[in-house]
Amino acid sequence: MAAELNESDELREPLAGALKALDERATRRAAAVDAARVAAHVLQRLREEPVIVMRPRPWNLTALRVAAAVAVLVIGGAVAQRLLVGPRGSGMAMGLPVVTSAEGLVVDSTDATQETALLAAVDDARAAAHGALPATTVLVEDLTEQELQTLLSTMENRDGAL
Amino acid sequence: MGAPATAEVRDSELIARFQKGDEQAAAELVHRHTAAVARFLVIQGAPDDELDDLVQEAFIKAFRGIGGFRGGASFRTWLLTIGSNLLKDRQRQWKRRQMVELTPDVADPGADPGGEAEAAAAAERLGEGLGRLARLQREVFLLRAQQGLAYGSIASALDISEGAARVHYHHAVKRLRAWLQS
Repeated sequence: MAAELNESDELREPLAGALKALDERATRRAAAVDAARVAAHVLQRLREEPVIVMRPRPWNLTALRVAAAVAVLVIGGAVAQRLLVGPRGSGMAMGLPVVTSAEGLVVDSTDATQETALLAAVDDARAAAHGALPATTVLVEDLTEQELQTLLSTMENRDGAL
Repeated sequence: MGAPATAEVRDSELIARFQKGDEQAAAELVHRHTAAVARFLVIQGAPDDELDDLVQEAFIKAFRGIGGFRGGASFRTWLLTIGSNLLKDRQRQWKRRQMVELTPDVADPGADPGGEAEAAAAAERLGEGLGRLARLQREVFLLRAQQGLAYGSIASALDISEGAARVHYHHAVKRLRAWLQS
């Protein structure tokens, strides 16, 4: 046994004797292994399958670099889009088709509920177009000539009905 | 005349030569360390009929992975741990295939039957005890007690701290002593 143990590591009986016996047995059995034969087989295997010296794999670094570049592009693009276009909510509002004028609408056949809805829609559309909060009421000055005529006509009819 | 030239060449030099393609350097390393690897594998339970193959495979793995050899431990220590890992993998395969057969010990023909019987029984018992240890405990114990390696070298080869190596060793000794006395 090649052990060079210090005092604290020194093995005592029965462990020391058992290890000595076991090691002697192992040495006898290990002697059956012929170093020359092992060397011949090892060299043959090395010739058949040459050793590749391990280095950091370049494809790993490349893959990491590509992944990092893609991440930068995606994040940068998202940030740039947010800065240039603005938050998603306002962008959608701007993109929606909004009727800003009631011109050309035929309202002769509309009833009072439909007219109220029409005026409310006009109100909302104007507010959206000018970026202002929707007005709670519509003033007469705000209406176009056509809208005013429609309104007056409706009022006359309603009065007549009453 | 001094010692043979090969005895003066250090393992590190042979490794460097092998990395440059010198086959004879590899052969010299195999000659130097075969007996130690075989002994280390046998004491851990390697069967005789697999021993040659295990030793060869340990060297092949070592040469293929020589780029990863950091030099913290000696080449032999590193090789022993490779052999130990290999044996552990094989034992797992053997267990799965249910082909495990205990190799009967071949009695030393020159031994005194009466005197050797007790030692053989103790060796047998210790072999069983080693098999019951946790892997790190067993490896640290054998590298220290059988191979006589320093804790620093053991720690480096097994990638653990020197303190941990000491603790594993002392736990192993305690458990083996208790096992032998039980």
